Amino acid sequence: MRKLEKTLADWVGNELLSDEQATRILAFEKARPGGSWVLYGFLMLGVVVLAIGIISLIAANWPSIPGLMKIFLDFLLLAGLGTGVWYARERQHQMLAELILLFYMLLCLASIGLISQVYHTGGELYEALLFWSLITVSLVGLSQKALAPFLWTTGFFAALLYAIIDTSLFDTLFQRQIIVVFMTLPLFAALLAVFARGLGGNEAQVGALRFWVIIVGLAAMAYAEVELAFDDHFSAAPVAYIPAYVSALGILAGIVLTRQYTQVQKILLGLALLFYLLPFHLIFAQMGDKYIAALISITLLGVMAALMASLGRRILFNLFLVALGLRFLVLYFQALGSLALTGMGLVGSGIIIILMAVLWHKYRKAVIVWVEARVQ
Amino acid sequence: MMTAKKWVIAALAAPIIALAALTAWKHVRMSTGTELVLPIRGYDPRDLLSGHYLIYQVDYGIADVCRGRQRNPPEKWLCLDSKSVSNYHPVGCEVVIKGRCDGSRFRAGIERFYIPENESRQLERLVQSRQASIRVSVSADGTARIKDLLIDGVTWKELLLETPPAQ
Repeated sequence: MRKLEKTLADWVGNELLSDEQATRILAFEKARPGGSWVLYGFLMLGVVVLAIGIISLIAANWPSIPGLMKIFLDFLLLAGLGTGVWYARERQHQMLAELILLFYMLLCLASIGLISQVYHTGGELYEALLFWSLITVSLVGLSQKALAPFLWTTGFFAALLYAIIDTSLFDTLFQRQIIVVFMTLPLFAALLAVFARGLGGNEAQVGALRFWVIIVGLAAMAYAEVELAFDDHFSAAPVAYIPAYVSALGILAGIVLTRQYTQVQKILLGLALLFYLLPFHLIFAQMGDKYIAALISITLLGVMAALMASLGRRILFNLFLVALGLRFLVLYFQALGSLALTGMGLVGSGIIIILMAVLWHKYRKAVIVWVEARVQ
Repeated sequence: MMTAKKWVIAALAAPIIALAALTAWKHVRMSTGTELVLPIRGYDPRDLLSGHYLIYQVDYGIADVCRGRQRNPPEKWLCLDSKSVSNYHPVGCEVVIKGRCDGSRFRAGIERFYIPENESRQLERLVQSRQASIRVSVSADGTARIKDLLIDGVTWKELLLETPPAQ
Protein backbone atom coordinates (compact mmCIF):
# COMPACT_ATOMS: atom_id res chain seq x y z
CA MET A 1 0.00 0.00 0.00
CA ARG A 2 2.89 2.30 0.77
CA LYS A 3 4.32 1.61 -2.68
CA LEU A 4 1.00 2.48 -4.27
CA GLU A 5 0.77 5.71 -2.27
CA LYS A 6 4.24 6.68 -3.41
CA THR A 7 3.46 5.87 -7.04
CA LEU A 8 0.19 7.83 -6.95
CA ALA A 9 1.93 10.82 -5.36
CA ASP A 10 4.50 10.68 -8.15
CA TRP A 11 1.79 10.64 -10.84
CA VAL A 12 -0.12 13.48 -9.18
CA GLY A 13 3.14 15.45 -9.00
CA ASN A 14 3.64 14.93 -12.75
CA GLU A 15 -0.01 15.87 -13.44
CA LEU A 16 -0.88 12.40 -14.80
CA LEU A 17 -3.68 12.06 -12.25
CA SER A 18 -5.72 14.54 -10.25
CA ASP A 19 -5.70 14.54 -6.44
CA GLU A 20 -9.29 13.34 -6.44
CA GLN A 21 -8.53 10.39 -8.74
CA ALA A 22 -5.55 9.35 -6.63
CA THR A 23 -7.68 9.48 -3.45
CA ARG A 24 -10.40 7.36 -5.05
CA ILE A 25 -7.87 4.77 -6.29
CA LEU A 26 -6.34 4.53 -2.83
CA ALA A 27 -9.73 4.15 -1.17
CA PHE A 28 -10.70 1.41 -3.64
CA GLU A 29 -7.50 -0.57 -3.00
CA LYS A 30 -7.81 -0.28 0.77
CA ALA A 31 -11.39 -1.55 0.65
CA ARG A 32 -10.42 -4.57 -1.47
CA PRO A 33 -11.08 -7.82 0.54
CA GLY A 34 -8.10 -9.96 1.61
CA GLY A 35 -5.62 -7.19 0.90
CA SER A 36 -3.69 -7.35 4.18
CA TRP A 37 -0.76 -9.64 3.55
CA VAL A 38 0.58 -9.17 7.07
CA LEU A 39 -2.67 -10.36 8.63
CA TYR A 40 -2.81 -13.24 6.16
CA GLY A 41 0.75 -14.26 7.00
CA PHE A 42 0.15 -14.38 10.74
CA LEU A 43 -3.15 -16.22 10.35
CA MET A 44 -1.48 -18.84 8.15
CA LEU A 45 1.30 -19.23 10.70
CA GLY A 46 -1.32 -19.77 13.40
CA VAL A 47 -3.04 -22.44 11.29
CA VAL A 48 0.26 -24.27 10.66
CA VAL A 49 1.15 -24.21 14.36
CA LEU A 50 -2.36 -25.44 15.21
CA ALA A 51 -2.04 -28.31 12.76
CA ILE A 52 1.35 -29.29 14.18
CA GLY A 53 -0.27 -29.28 17.63
CA ILE A 54 -2.98 -31.64 16.38
CA ILE A 55 -0.32 -33.98 14.98
CA SER A 56 1.48 -33.91 18.30
CA LEU A 57 -1.74 -34.72 20.18
CA ILE A 58 -2.29 -37.68 17.87
CA ALA A 59 1.28 -38.76 18.48
CA ALA A 60 0.52 -38.80 22.22
CA ASN A 61 -1.84 -41.66 21.40
CA TRP A 62 -4.47 -41.47 24.12
CA PRO A 63 -5.09 -45.06 25.14
CA SER A 64 -8.51 -44.39 26.68
CA ILE A 65 -10.06 -43.65 23.29
CA PRO A 66 -10.57 -46.75 21.10
CA GLY A 67 -8.78 -46.61 17.75
CA LEU A 68 -11.92 -46.63 15.62
CA MET A 69 -13.43 -43.83 17.72
CA LYS A 70 -10.33 -41.72 17.13
CA ILE A 71 -10.65 -42.31 13.39
CA PHE A 72 -14.37 -41.49 13.47
CA LEU A 73 -13.73 -38.19 15.29
CA ASP A 74 -10.96 -37.43 12.84
CA PHE A 75 -13.27 -37.93 9.87
CA LEU A 76 -15.88 -35.79 11.57
CA LEU A 77 -13.33 -33.00 11.89
CA LEU A 78 -12.25 -33.40 8.26
CA ALA A 79 -15.87 -33.23 7.10
CA GLY A 80 -16.38 -30.14 9.23
CA LEU A 81 -13.36 -28.46 7.68
CA GLY A 82 -14.46 -29.37 4.15
CA THR A 83 -17.88 -27.92 4.89
CA GLY A 84 -16.23 -24.82 6.34
CA VAL A 85 -14.25 -24.27 3.13
CA TRP A 86 -17.43 -24.67 1.09
CA TYR A 87 -19.42 -22.14 3.12
CA ALA A 88 -16.54 -19.63 3.26
CA ARG A 89 -16.23 -19.77 -0.53
CA GLU A 90 -19.99 -19.42 -0.99
CA ARG A 91 -19.97 -16.31 1.19
CA GLN A 92 -16.92 -14.85 -0.60
CA HIS A 93 -14.77 -14.95 2.55
CA GLN A 94 -11.58 -15.68 0.66
CA MET A 95 -9.12 -15.42 3.54
CA LEU A 96 -11.24 -17.63 5.82
CA ALA A 97 -11.60 -20.21 3.05
CA GLU A 98 -7.81 -20.26 2.56
CA LEU A 99 -7.15 -20.69 6.28
CA ILE A 100 -9.59 -23.58 6.64
CA LEU A 101 -8.30 -25.15 3.42
CA LEU A 102 -4.73 -25.07 4.72
CA PHE A 103 -5.80 -26.60 8.03
CA TYR A 104 -7.76 -29.27 6.13
CA MET A 105 -4.69 -30.16 4.05
CA LEU A 106 -2.42 -30.45 7.08
CA LEU A 107 -5.02 -32.45 8.98
CA CYS A 108 -5.08 -34.95 6.10
CA LEU A 109 -1.39 -35.61 6.81
CA ALA A 110 -2.18 -36.03 10.51
CA SER A 111 -4.99 -38.44 9.56
CA ILE A 112 -2.57 -40.65 7.63
CA GLY A 113 -0.41 -40.81 10.73
CA LEU A 114 -3.43 -41.61 12.91
CA ILE A 115 -4.57 -44.46 10.63
CA SER A 116 -1.08 -45.96 10.55
CA GLN A 117 -0.93 -45.64 14.32
CA VAL A 118 -4.30 -47.33 14.93
CA TYR A 119 -3.49 -50.21 12.59
CA HIS A 120 0.21 -50.36 13.53
CA THR A 121 1.31 -50.20 9.93
CA GLY A 122 4.87 -49.11 9.33
CA GLY A 123 6.26 -47.20 6.39
CA GLU A 124 8.60 -44.38 5.52
CA LEU A 125 7.75 -40.70 5.79
CA TYR A 126 8.08 -40.31 2.03
CA GLU A 127 5.33 -42.91 1.49
CA ALA A 128 2.99 -40.92 3.73
CA LEU A 129 3.92 -37.68 1.94
CA LEU A 130 3.36 -39.18 -1.51
CA PHE A 131 -0.06 -40.50 -0.49
CA TRP A 132 -0.85 -37.15 1.12
CA SER A 133 0.17 -35.35 -2.10
CA LEU A 134 -2.11 -37.61 -4.12
CA ILE A 135 -5.21 -37.15 -1.95
CA THR A 136 -4.82 -33.38 -1.45
CA VAL A 137 -4.04 -32.34 -5.03
CA SER A 138 -7.72 -31.47 -5.48
CA LEU A 139 -7.52 -29.13 -2.47
CA VAL A 140 -4.52 -27.34 -3.99
CA GLY A 141 -6.67 -26.73 -7.05
CA LEU A 142 -9.08 -24.74 -4.87
CA SER A 143 -6.41 -22.53 -3.32
CA GLN A 144 -6.04 -18.91 -4.42
CA LYS A 145 -2.98 -18.10 -2.31
CA ALA A 146 0.63 -19.29 -2.43
CA LEU A 147 1.16 -21.16 0.85
CA ALA A 148 -1.01 -24.24 0.26
CA PRO A 149 0.42 -24.94 -3.24
CA PHE A 150 3.93 -24.27 -1.94
CA LEU A 151 3.51 -26.73 0.94
CA TRP A 152 2.08 -29.30 -1.43
CA THR A 153 4.89 -29.04 -3.99
CA THR A 154 7.52 -29.14 -1.23
CA GLY A 155 6.02 -32.30 0.26
CA PHE A 156 5.54 -33.92 -3.13
CA PHE A 157 8.99 -33.28 -4.57
CA ALA A 158 10.84 -34.04 -1.34
CA ALA A 159 9.00 -37.37 -1.10
CA LEU A 160 9.51 -38.14 -4.79
CA LEU A 161 13.24 -37.44 -4.61
CA TYR A 162 13.62 -39.61 -1.52
CA ALA A 163 11.55 -42.40 -3.07
CA ILE A 164 13.66 -42.41 -6.24
CA ILE A 165 17.00 -42.34 -4.43
CA ASP A 166 16.28 -44.61 -1.51
CA THR A 167 14.04 -47.34 -2.86
CA SER A 168 14.22 -49.88 -5.63
CA LEU A 169 10.96 -48.64 -7.16
CA PHE A 170 12.62 -46.63 -9.90
CA ASP A 171 15.81 -48.63 -10.29
CA THR A 172 14.83 -50.08 -13.66
CA LEU A 173 14.39 -46.56 -15.00
CA PHE A 174 17.01 -44.40 -13.31
CA GLN A 175 19.42 -47.17 -12.27
CA ARG A 176 20.24 -45.12 -9.15
CA GLN A 177 22.07 -42.54 -11.26
CA ILE A 178 21.63 -39.47 -9.06
CA ILE A 179 22.77 -37.09 -11.79
CA VAL A 180 19.96 -38.25 -14.08
CA VAL A 181 17.44 -37.99 -11.24
CA PHE A 182 18.55 -34.42 -10.56
CA MET A 183 18.33 -33.61 -14.25
CA THR A 184 14.81 -34.98 -14.52
CA LEU A 185 13.15 -33.47 -11.44
CA PRO A 186 13.14 -29.80 -12.57
CA LEU A 187 11.89 -30.88 -15.99
CA PHE A 188 9.10 -32.89 -14.36
CA ALA A 189 8.20 -29.87 -12.21
CA ALA A 190 8.16 -27.68 -15.33
CA LEU A 191 5.93 -30.22 -17.11
CA LEU A 192 3.51 -30.15 -14.15
CA ALA A 193 3.55 -26.34 -14.35
CA VAL A 194 2.62 -26.57 -18.06
CA PHE A 195 -0.27 -28.93 -17.19
CA ALA A 196 -1.39 -26.74 -14.30
CA ARG A 197 -1.46 -23.67 -16.53
CA GLY A 198 -3.30 -25.61 -19.23
CA LEU A 199 -5.92 -26.77 -16.72
CA GLY A 200 -6.58 -23.19 -15.70
CA GLY A 201 -4.31 -23.06 -12.68
CA ASN A 202 -3.84 -19.68 -11.07
CA GLU A 203 -0.57 -17.84 -10.50
CA ALA A 204 -0.18 -19.18 -6.93
CA GLN A 205 -0.43 -22.79 -8.06
CA VAL A 206 1.80 -22.45 -11.12
CA GLY A 207 4.20 -20.24 -9.19
CA ALA A 208 4.77 -22.93 -6.56
CA LEU A 209 5.79 -25.39 -9.27
CA ARG A 210 7.89 -22.74 -10.99
CA PHE A 211 9.73 -22.13 -7.70
CA TRP A 212 10.77 -25.79 -7.60
CA VAL A 213 11.78 -25.73 -11.25
CA ILE A 214 14.19 -22.88 -10.58
CA ILE A 215 15.59 -24.00 -7.23
CA VAL A 216 16.05 -27.66 -8.12
CA GLY A 217 17.21 -26.68 -11.62
CA LEU A 218 19.99 -24.48 -10.22
CA ALA A 219 20.97 -27.22 -7.77
CA ALA A 220 20.94 -29.79 -10.58
CA MET A 221 23.21 -27.64 -12.76
CA ALA A 222 25.67 -27.21 -9.92
CA TYR A 223 25.59 -30.94 -9.23
CA ALA A 224 26.21 -31.75 -12.90
CA GLU A 225 29.26 -29.50 -13.01
CA VAL A 226 30.71 -31.00 -9.85
CA GLU A 227 30.20 -34.48 -11.33
CA LEU A 228 31.93 -33.39 -14.53
CA ALA A 229 34.86 -32.01 -12.57
CA PHE A 230 35.49 -35.14 -10.52
CA ASP A 231 34.18 -38.04 -12.51
CA ASP A 232 34.36 -38.51 -16.26
CA HIS A 233 33.16 -42.10 -16.12
CA PHE A 234 29.45 -42.40 -16.54
CA SER A 235 27.47 -45.44 -17.43
CA ALA A 236 23.75 -44.69 -17.28
CA ALA A 237 21.84 -46.44 -20.01
CA PRO A 238 19.80 -44.28 -22.41
CA VAL A 239 16.59 -45.56 -20.79
CA ALA A 240 17.47 -43.48 -17.69
CA TYR A 241 17.07 -40.33 -19.77
CA ILE A 242 13.59 -41.20 -21.06
CA PRO A 243 11.60 -39.43 -18.30
CA ALA A 244 13.69 -36.29 -18.86
CA TYR A 245 13.22 -36.38 -22.63
CA VAL A 246 9.49 -37.00 -22.33
CA SER A 247 9.20 -34.10 -19.89
CA ALA A 248 11.30 -31.87 -22.18
CA LEU A 249 9.07 -32.67 -25.15
CA GLY A 250 5.99 -31.90 -23.10
CA ILE A 251 7.49 -28.60 -21.98
CA LEU A 252 8.42 -27.71 -25.56
CA ALA A 253 4.88 -28.42 -26.71
CA GLY A 254 3.56 -26.26 -23.88
CA ILE A 255 5.88 -23.41 -24.87
CA VAL A 256 4.89 -23.58 -28.54
CA LEU A 257 1.14 -23.82 -27.88
CA THR A 258 0.80 -21.21 -25.13
CA ARG A 259 -0.42 -17.72 -25.87
CA GLN A 260 1.03 -16.47 -22.61
CA TYR A 261 4.48 -15.70 -24.05
CA THR A 262 5.71 -13.56 -26.93
CA GLN A 263 7.80 -15.09 -29.72
CA VAL A 264 11.01 -13.77 -28.20
CA GLN A 265 10.11 -15.24 -24.82
CA LYS A 266 9.35 -18.60 -26.45
CA ILE A 267 12.76 -18.57 -28.13
CA LEU A 268 14.43 -17.78 -24.81
CA LEU A 269 12.53 -20.63 -23.11
CA GLY A 270 13.53 -23.04 -25.83
CA LEU A 271 17.17 -21.99 -25.56
CA ALA A 272 17.01 -22.35 -21.79
CA LEU A 273 15.68 -25.89 -22.17
CA LEU A 274 18.46 -26.77 -24.63
CA PHE A 275 21.25 -25.33 -22.50
CA TYR A 276 19.83 -27.04 -19.43
CA LEU A 277 19.91 -30.48 -21.06
CA LEU A 278 23.39 -30.13 -22.54
CA PRO A 279 25.63 -30.41 -19.42
CA PHE A 280 24.08 -33.72 -18.39
CA HIS A 281 24.99 -35.17 -21.77
CA LEU A 282 28.57 -33.95 -21.60
CA ILE A 283 29.33 -36.47 -18.88
CA PHE A 284 27.46 -39.10 -20.83
CA ALA A 285 29.60 -38.27 -23.86
CA GLN A 286 32.73 -38.43 -21.65
CA MET A 287 33.46 -34.77 -22.35
CA GLY A 288 34.62 -33.67 -18.92
CA ASP A 289 35.75 -30.20 -19.98
CA LYS A 290 35.25 -27.52 -17.33
CA TYR A 291 35.32 -24.67 -19.89
CA ILE A 292 32.56 -26.15 -22.02
CA ALA A 293 30.48 -26.73 -18.89
CA ALA A 294 31.13 -23.15 -17.73
CA LEU A 295 30.19 -21.72 -21.10
CA ILE A 296 26.94 -23.67 -21.15
CA SER A 297 25.92 -22.74 -17.60
CA ILE A 298 26.82 -19.05 -18.10
CA THR A 299 24.79 -19.00 -21.31
CA LEU A 300 21.85 -20.69 -19.58
CA LEU A 301 21.91 -18.27 -16.65
CA GLY A 302 22.16 -15.32 -19.04
CA VAL A 303 19.21 -16.59 -21.08
CA MET A 304 17.14 -17.09 -17.92
CA ALA A 305 18.02 -13.60 -16.69
CA ALA A 306 16.95 -12.14 -20.04
CA LEU A 307 13.71 -14.13 -19.91
CA MET A 308 12.91 -12.91 -16.39
CA ALA A 309 13.63 -9.35 -17.46
CA SER A 310 11.25 -9.67 -20.41
CA LEU A 311 8.57 -11.12 -18.10
CA GLY A 312 9.05 -8.27 -15.62
CA ARG A 313 10.00 -10.62 -12.77
CA ARG A 314 12.52 -8.49 -10.96
CA ILE A 315 13.31 -10.83 -8.05
CA LEU A 316 13.98 -13.80 -10.32
CA PHE A 317 15.97 -11.59 -12.68
CA ASN A 318 18.20 -10.57 -9.79
CA LEU A 319 18.50 -14.19 -8.63
CA PHE A 320 19.79 -15.29 -12.03
CA LEU A 321 22.13 -12.32 -12.21
CA VAL A 322 23.60 -13.27 -8.83
CA ALA A 323 23.96 -16.88 -9.98
CA LEU A 324 25.63 -15.64 -13.16
CA GLY A 325 28.03 -13.50 -11.20
CA LEU A 326 28.95 -16.41 -8.95
CA ARG A 327 29.49 -18.64 -11.94
CA PHE A 328 31.84 -16.07 -13.49
CA LEU A 329 33.77 -15.99 -10.24
CA VAL A 330 34.08 -19.76 -10.13
CA LEU A 331 35.18 -19.79 -13.76
CA TYR A 332 37.94 -17.34 -13.14
CA PHE A 333 39.23 -19.30 -10.18
CA GLN A 334 39.15 -22.44 -12.30
CA ALA A 335 40.89 -20.80 -15.24
CA LEU A 336 43.34 -18.45 -13.67
CA GLY A 337 43.96 -19.73 -10.16
CA SER A 338 45.70 -16.75 -8.59
CA LEU A 339 43.84 -13.86 -6.96
CA ALA A 340 45.71 -11.23 -8.99
CA LEU A 341 44.94 -12.77 -12.37
CA THR A 342 41.36 -13.45 -11.30
CA GLY A 343 41.03 -9.82 -10.22
CA MET A 344 42.24 -8.50 -13.57
CA GLY A 345 39.95 -10.87 -15.42
CA LEU A 346 36.96 -9.77 -13.35
CA VAL A 347 37.72 -6.07 -13.87
CA GLY A 348 37.76 -6.65 -17.61
CA SER A 349 34.56 -8.69 -17.48
CA GLY A 350 32.85 -6.07 -15.33
CA ILE A 351 33.66 -3.36 -17.88
CA ILE A 352 32.34 -5.56 -20.70
CA ILE A 353 29.12 -6.32 -18.79
CA ILE A 354 28.51 -2.60 -18.07
CA LEU A 355 29.10 -1.70 -21.72
CA MET A 356 26.77 -4.50 -22.87
CA ALA A 357 24.08 -3.39 -20.42
CA VAL A 358 24.25 0.21 -21.65
CA LEU A 359 24.13 -0.87 -25.30
CA TRP A 360 21.24 -3.28 -24.59
CA HIS A 361 19.28 -0.53 -22.82
CA LYS A 362 19.82 1.81 -25.77
CA TYR A 363 19.04 -0.64 -28.59
CA ARG A 364 16.80 -3.33 -26.99
CA LYS A 365 13.57 -2.22 -28.68
CA ALA A 366 15.17 -2.33 -32.10
CA VAL A 367 16.60 -5.80 -31.38
CA ILE A 368 13.25 -7.15 -30.18
CA VAL A 369 11.41 -5.77 -33.22
CA TRP A 370 14.08 -7.26 -35.52
CA VAL A 371 13.84 -10.71 -33.85
CA GLU A 372 10.04 -10.77 -33.85
CA ALA A 373 9.92 -9.73 -37.52
CA ARG A 374 12.17 -12.64 -38.48
CA VAL A 375 10.31 -15.17 -36.35
CA GLN A 376 6.96 -14.23 -37.86
CA MET B 1 -22.43 -22.71 -12.25
CA MET B 2 -23.85 -26.00 -10.93
CA THR B 3 -21.03 -27.92 -12.63
CA ALA B 4 -18.42 -25.71 -10.96
CA LYS B 5 -20.08 -26.25 -7.57
CA LYS B 6 -20.06 -30.00 -8.10
CA TRP B 7 -16.34 -29.86 -8.89
CA VAL B 8 -15.70 -27.94 -5.68
CA ILE B 9 -17.70 -30.46 -3.63
CA ALA B 10 -15.86 -33.34 -5.32
CA ALA B 11 -12.50 -31.68 -4.65
CA LEU B 12 -13.35 -31.19 -0.96
CA ALA B 13 -14.72 -34.71 -0.55
CA ALA B 14 -11.88 -36.49 -2.38
CA PRO B 15 -9.39 -36.58 0.55
CA ILE B 16 -12.03 -37.92 2.96
CA ILE B 17 -13.10 -40.62 0.50
CA ALA B 18 -9.45 -41.60 -0.06
CA LEU B 19 -8.73 -41.77 3.67
CA ALA B 20 -11.92 -43.76 4.28
CA ALA B 21 -10.87 -46.21 1.56
CA LEU B 22 -7.43 -46.52 3.16
CA THR B 23 -8.99 -47.18 6.58
CA ALA B 24 -11.39 -49.75 5.19
CA TRP B 25 -8.59 -51.55 3.36
CA LYS B 26 -6.39 -51.71 6.44
CA HIS B 27 -9.30 -52.85 8.60
CA VAL B 28 -10.29 -55.64 6.23
CA ARG B 29 -6.67 -56.80 5.87
CA MET B 30 -6.27 -56.86 9.63
CA SER B 31 -9.56 -58.63 10.28
CA THR B 32 -9.13 -61.41 7.74
CA GLY B 33 -6.35 -63.94 7.39
CA THR B 34 -4.73 -66.47 9.70
CA GLU B 35 -4.11 -65.30 13.26
CA LEU B 36 -0.71 -66.03 14.87
CA VAL B 37 1.19 -65.13 18.00
CA LEU B 38 4.93 -64.47 17.49
CA PRO B 39 7.49 -63.74 20.27
CA ILE B 40 9.47 -60.42 20.15
CA ARG B 41 12.23 -58.36 21.86
CA GLY B 42 12.14 -54.51 21.69
CA TYR B 43 13.26 -50.84 22.42
CA ASP B 44 11.73 -47.35 21.94
CA PRO B 45 12.62 -44.57 19.47
CA ARG B 46 10.31 -41.78 18.21
CA ASP B 47 8.49 -41.41 14.96
CA LEU B 48 7.68 -37.73 14.39
CA LEU B 49 4.57 -38.45 12.39
CA SER B 50 3.07 -41.33 14.31
CA GLY B 51 4.15 -40.97 17.90
CA HIS B 52 6.05 -43.36 20.16
CA TYR B 53 6.42 -46.91 19.05
CA LEU B 54 8.22 -50.06 20.02
CA ILE B 55 10.65 -51.46 17.50
CA TYR B 56 11.51 -55.07 17.99
CA GLN B 57 12.75 -58.19 16.31
CA VAL B 58 10.24 -60.92 15.66
CA ASP B 59 11.28 -64.47 16.43
CA TYR B 60 9.98 -66.61 13.58
CA GLY B 61 11.88 -69.67 14.80
CA ILE B 62 14.03 -69.60 11.65
CA ALA B 63 17.78 -68.94 11.81
CA ASP B 64 19.77 -66.82 9.29
CA VAL B 65 16.83 -65.55 7.26
CA CYS B 66 19.01 -62.77 5.84
CA ARG B 67 22.61 -63.69 5.10
CA GLY B 68 25.20 -61.10 4.08
CA ARG B 69 24.63 -57.55 2.79
CA GLN B 70 22.41 -57.37 -0.25
CA ARG B 71 21.94 -54.44 -2.62
CA ASN B 72 18.31 -54.18 -3.70
CA PRO B 73 17.26 -57.18 -1.59
CA PRO B 74 14.56 -59.28 -3.18
CA GLU B 75 11.45 -60.42 -1.40
CA LYS B 76 11.86 -63.30 1.03
CA TRP B 77 9.15 -65.75 1.98
CA LEU B 78 9.08 -67.53 5.32
CA CYS B 79 7.11 -70.74 5.62
CA LEU B 80 6.25 -71.04 9.29
CA ASP B 81 4.99 -74.64 8.86
CA SER B 82 8.31 -76.03 7.68
CA LYS B 83 10.49 -73.20 9.16
CA SER B 84 12.08 -72.53 5.78
CA VAL B 85 13.08 -69.48 3.72
CA SER B 86 12.67 -69.03 -0.02
CA ASN B 87 12.84 -66.30 -2.67
CA TYR B 88 9.35 -67.06 -3.98
CA HIS B 89 5.90 -67.88 -2.57
CA PRO B 90 6.25 -71.50 -1.37
CA VAL B 91 3.64 -73.91 -2.66
CA GLY B 92 1.73 -76.03 -0.17
CA CYS B 93 2.66 -73.95 2.87
CA GLU B 94 -0.30 -72.93 5.03
CA VAL B 95 1.25 -69.94 6.81
CA VAL B 96 3.58 -67.75 4.78
CA ILE B 97 5.02 -64.35 5.75
CA LYS B 98 6.45 -62.06 3.09
CA GLY B 99 9.17 -59.49 3.72
CA ARG B 100 12.56 -58.09 2.73
CA CYS B 101 16.05 -58.18 4.19
CA ASP B 102 17.38 -54.91 5.63
CA GLY B 103 21.00 -55.84 6.20
CA SER B 104 20.85 -58.92 8.39
CA ARG B 105 17.28 -58.23 9.57
CA PHE B 106 14.12 -59.59 8.02
CA ARG B 107 11.38 -56.96 7.82
CA ALA B 108 7.76 -57.94 7.22
CA GLY B 109 6.20 -54.58 8.15
CA ILE B 110 5.23 -55.81 11.64
CA GLU B 111 8.34 -54.68 13.47
CA ARG B 112 6.80 -51.73 15.26
CA PHE B 113 3.84 -51.20 17.57
CA TYR B 114 2.48 -47.77 18.47
CA ILE B 115 2.19 -47.09 22.18
CA PRO B 116 0.88 -44.20 24.31
CA GLU B 117 3.48 -41.59 25.16
CA ASN B 118 2.87 -41.80 28.92
CA GLU B 119 3.25 -45.57 29.06
CA SER B 120 6.19 -45.92 26.67
CA ARG B 121 8.92 -46.38 29.28
CA GLN B 122 6.84 -48.76 31.39
CA LEU B 123 5.91 -50.86 28.37
CA GLU B 124 9.50 -50.94 27.18
CA ARG B 125 10.58 -52.32 30.60
CA LEU B 126 7.79 -54.89 30.57
CA VAL B 127 8.66 -56.04 27.05
CA GLN B 128 12.30 -56.46 28.00
CA SER B 129 11.70 -58.16 31.36
CA ARG B 130 8.80 -60.46 30.44
CA GLN B 131 7.75 -62.66 27.56
CA ALA B 132 6.40 -60.31 24.93
CA SER B 133 4.71 -61.30 21.68
CA ILE B 134 2.55 -59.83 18.96
CA ARG B 135 -0.74 -61.14 17.64
CA VAL B 136 -0.77 -60.81 13.87
CA SER B 137 -3.11 -61.56 11.02
CA VAL B 138 -1.49 -63.07 7.90
CA SER B 139 -3.29 -62.96 4.56
CA ALA B 140 -2.97 -65.50 1.78
CA ASP B 141 -0.41 -63.40 -0.09
CA GLY B 142 1.92 -63.40 2.93
CA THR B 143 1.19 -59.87 4.15
CA ALA B 144 1.19 -59.70 7.93
CA ARG B 145 -0.72 -57.09 10.00
CA ILE B 146 -0.37 -56.46 13.73
CA LYS B 147 -3.49 -56.89 15.83
CA ASP B 148 -2.19 -56.53 19.35
CA LEU B 149 0.79 -56.61 21.72
CA LEU B 150 0.80 -59.37 24.34
CA ILE B 151 2.92 -59.57 27.46
CA ASP B 152 2.93 -62.95 29.20
CA GLY B 153 -0.07 -63.80 27.02
CA VAL B 154 -2.12 -60.81 28.25
CA THR B 155 -2.91 -57.73 26.15
CA TRP B 156 -0.76 -54.73 27.06
CA LYS B 157 -3.76 -52.61 28.05
CA GLU B 158 -4.96 -55.18 30.57
CA LEU B 159 -1.44 -55.58 31.96
CA LEU B 160 -0.94 -51.84 32.42
CA LEU B 161 -4.17 -51.69 34.39
CA GLU B 162 -2.87 -54.44 36.67
CA THR B 163 0.74 -53.20 36.94
CA PRO B 164 1.59 -50.05 38.99
CA PRO B 165 4.10 -47.71 37.23
CA ALA B 166 7.76 -48.02 38.38
CA GLN B 167 8.87 -45.31 40.91
